Amino acid sequence: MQQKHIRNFCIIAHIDHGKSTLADRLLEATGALSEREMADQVLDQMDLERERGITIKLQAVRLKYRAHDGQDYILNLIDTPGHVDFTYEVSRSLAACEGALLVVDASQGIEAQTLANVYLALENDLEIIPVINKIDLPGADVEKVKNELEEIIGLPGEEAILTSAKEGIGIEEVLEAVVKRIPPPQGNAGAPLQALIFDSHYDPYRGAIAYVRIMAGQVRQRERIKIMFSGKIFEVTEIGTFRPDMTAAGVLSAGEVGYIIAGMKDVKDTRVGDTITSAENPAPEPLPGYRRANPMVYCGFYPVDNADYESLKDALEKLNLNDAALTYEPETSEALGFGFRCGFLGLLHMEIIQERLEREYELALITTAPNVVYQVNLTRGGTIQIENPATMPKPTEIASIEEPFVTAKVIVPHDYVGPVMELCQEKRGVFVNMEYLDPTRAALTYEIPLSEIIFDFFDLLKSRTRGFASFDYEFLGYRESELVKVDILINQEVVDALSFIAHVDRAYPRGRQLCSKLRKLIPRQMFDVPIQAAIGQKVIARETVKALRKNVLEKCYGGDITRKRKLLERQKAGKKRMKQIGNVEIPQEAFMAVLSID
Amino acid sequence: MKTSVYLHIPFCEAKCTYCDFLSFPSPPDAPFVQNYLQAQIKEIKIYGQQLQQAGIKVGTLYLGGGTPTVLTPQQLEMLLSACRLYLPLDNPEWTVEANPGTVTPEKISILVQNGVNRISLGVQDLCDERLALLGRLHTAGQAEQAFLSCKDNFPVVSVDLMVGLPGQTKEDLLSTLAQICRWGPQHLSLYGLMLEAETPLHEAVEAGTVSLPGEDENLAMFWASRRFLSACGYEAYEIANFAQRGYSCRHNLTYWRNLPYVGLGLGAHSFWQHKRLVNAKDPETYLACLKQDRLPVAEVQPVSREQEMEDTMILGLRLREGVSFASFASRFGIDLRHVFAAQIEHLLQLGLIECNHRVIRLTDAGLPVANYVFAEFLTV
Repeated sequence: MQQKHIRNFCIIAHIDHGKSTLADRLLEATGALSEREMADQVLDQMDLERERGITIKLQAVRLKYRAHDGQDYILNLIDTPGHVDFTYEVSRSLAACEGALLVVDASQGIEAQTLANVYLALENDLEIIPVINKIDLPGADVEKVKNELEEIIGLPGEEAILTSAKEGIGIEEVLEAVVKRIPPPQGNAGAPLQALIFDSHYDPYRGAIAYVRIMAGQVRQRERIKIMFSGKIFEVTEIGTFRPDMTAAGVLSAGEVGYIIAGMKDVKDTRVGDTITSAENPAPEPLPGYRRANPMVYCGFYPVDNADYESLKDALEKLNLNDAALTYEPETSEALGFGFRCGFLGLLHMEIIQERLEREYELALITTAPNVVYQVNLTRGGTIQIENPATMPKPTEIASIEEPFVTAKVIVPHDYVGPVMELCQEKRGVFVNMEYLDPTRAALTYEIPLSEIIFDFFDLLKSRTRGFASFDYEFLGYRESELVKVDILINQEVVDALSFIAHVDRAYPRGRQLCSKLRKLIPRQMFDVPIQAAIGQKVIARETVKALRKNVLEKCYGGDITRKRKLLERQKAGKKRMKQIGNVEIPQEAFMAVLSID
Repeated sequence: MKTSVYLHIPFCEAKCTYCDFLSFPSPPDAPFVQNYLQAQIKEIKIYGQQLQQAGIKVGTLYLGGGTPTVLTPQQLEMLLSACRLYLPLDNPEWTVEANPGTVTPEKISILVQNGVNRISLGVQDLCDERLALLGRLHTAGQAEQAFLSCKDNFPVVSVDLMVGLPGQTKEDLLSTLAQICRWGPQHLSLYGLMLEAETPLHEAVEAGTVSLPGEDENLAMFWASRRFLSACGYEAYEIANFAQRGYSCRHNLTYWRNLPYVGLGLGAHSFWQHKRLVNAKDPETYLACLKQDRLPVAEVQPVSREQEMEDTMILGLRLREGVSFASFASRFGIDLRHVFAAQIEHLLQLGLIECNHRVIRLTDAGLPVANYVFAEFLTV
């Protein structure tokens, strides 16, 4: 296939604006799938994605389309995830394209979250085709959306295509625009191979499969290839394209999108953003933009039932085969027993893994509150990394503590500038600058400790700006902060899994809030249960869960026995899901309580 | 061998605001009531034959409801004589539940003549306002009248009272108890109000128009009533039941000792040959079954040996006498201290139970939190 007959594009949209439905219609219209074959929304393959309506794992599909000019084209549609945790993945999949469809809901208009991805697309020099979707809905206001496109993004509103993906309106126009407006790929098929890995997935029978866009050169079966950053060399066993099932091909040339299977044993060999080249005739340089995705957020996963430890280990191993960004290390907690300290790209990533473990692997888990990685400079010299607050050395051994800072960019309508600044300040943010993108929108830049972001920053930002803020952050570096470890004692025993690290100014209020929250979460026991927060030996807050004083079924006769027994069984089953710490039964929510204070 | 028989009469004059029992407010001359009694008499006959064949006598008989005394004198006569005719009675303790407004001299005499020797009177409270709020159809004065006429006619009278009622204070309760003790029933039941879902009282509490005493007040009432009744010569032989010496309710002891019993009537439960049986709860099925001479059993749940051991514990611990090691061992062929070693150790540590060389039972500390103790004995 000649490059001039190839178009590579992706779809950018806010959640619920109809990206998946539009993708389905494009597949249908080009005959990639018959209507009957379509389980709704083919591109989002994971159940979890379908339920949450978000794309986590990238997918790609190759469409064949005969355009109005009578020529046949290959359209490669690359799906993108839509969340800040996966910004890096998004940027790599955009780098694999020449154009993007920007889907905007005709009644909702442009939403803040869409913008971050639009800017990413512009940075990657993508041709953007605005698509105004859901025009059949009663609330649709096409003119308003056109104005927004012009004012906020600077795209001519007149060029927007009007669609209703649900009703199949405008699909043909979208396909024509892809062909006419998006430039064909360029790249020298004769140059040494450069293939950009924009995704990968693990197949139990074939190993890791790299999803690639060939930027230059060609790749053939049985060719020896080299993964440039990892330096590893493999022999290609199969290459092919997505139609949408993987279909083997003899060669992939510059401009094409497809997959490479080469006996790579897990996805760590095919990290997103890395470049595949030829082992015999390597490209002088890898493609720009590679970055190894390091975990930014850590938490502990513990099986509720200690007997499930091995199953949890197996499950993490399996998930890790397919998710190079996930890390896990065995860890022991005095309170929770044996578990794992896991590292994630961000909070959503963490929630996804947690849900998959619970749902797909049917594990009952206790998740500890997430934390960042601290660097502790010791008085005796040397620096250690702390991934778990419980392992923080004694205050006397600590010379100083450094915590990760990020540069946070918030784009927000000017009405909300005040609340956003307030929030950033509350979160120990340092103002860097503010600029107006247009008369109504401002971009604020702050340097904020990552630990503040992973608590409730998203939620607060959303609620204080009524969802209109878009937010993105980048790792900045480690900085010294005045931090202390706060321990929580329940019934006089330190519960290591509840320890947290806080800025010295926040330690007191946070300790108090957490104690009061725990008082509400911990069910009454047969005796008074004191809950204390302490810094070292010093108790900074105290609450008491009063003993249960009356709990008795006073009436029990022949007809009641079965019913009363069931009642008691339910009472007992509820207890079983709790973790016994000393004499006290603590529900799972308690271990996440530290998240929702402040 | 002897057993216990319960007869359920699912009719009332009116539904009380806290009641979620299987009961229908119906006038006694309704055809449904008549059909029901005929079906129930057939059920009595079938069971009677079976008991006779097995050589089992009926040692206690209990008519509950609903309100058995809403039946007309003729209906009562018919039902009671059917019991005498078909059931192999052996000098039984024979109890009938009654509400104060429904005990006329004529009904009393029918009950007495048929051999009923114990009446359980639903007095509930002696505050007219609260009685009205509960949907009771009688006043305190009527309750006293009813009590006095029962006392003259039955060897044993029991009074039901409720605790934890809207607006009730410890002083209210103690003055009610003082009055009842002056009447001098041989037996008393004191039930904490249980707020059942979908009852009018529950809705009123949810809506905030009625408020109930808090946990501390309830606990204070729990202890105050026990102290008071003990001083008046009533032994708390079960969590909610008090009796003068020798007047414990033998019928209910069958339940708490986890011994077999037969329940007849709509939705009645039986525990028989290691199975819990439940009769049909809807009247049509009940009537249709008996019309075809079939027993109206709708559910049969086998009780495993483990479950029976657990039930023996959680029911037996309700009793002041506790669970005797010897009777447990002779019933199950194993020492209960062996079966429940871990639970017993844990509960002893918490001071909620006590053991001597003969029995295990709740301590005073264990009584108000008995559910916690019971739950420990269940394997879930």
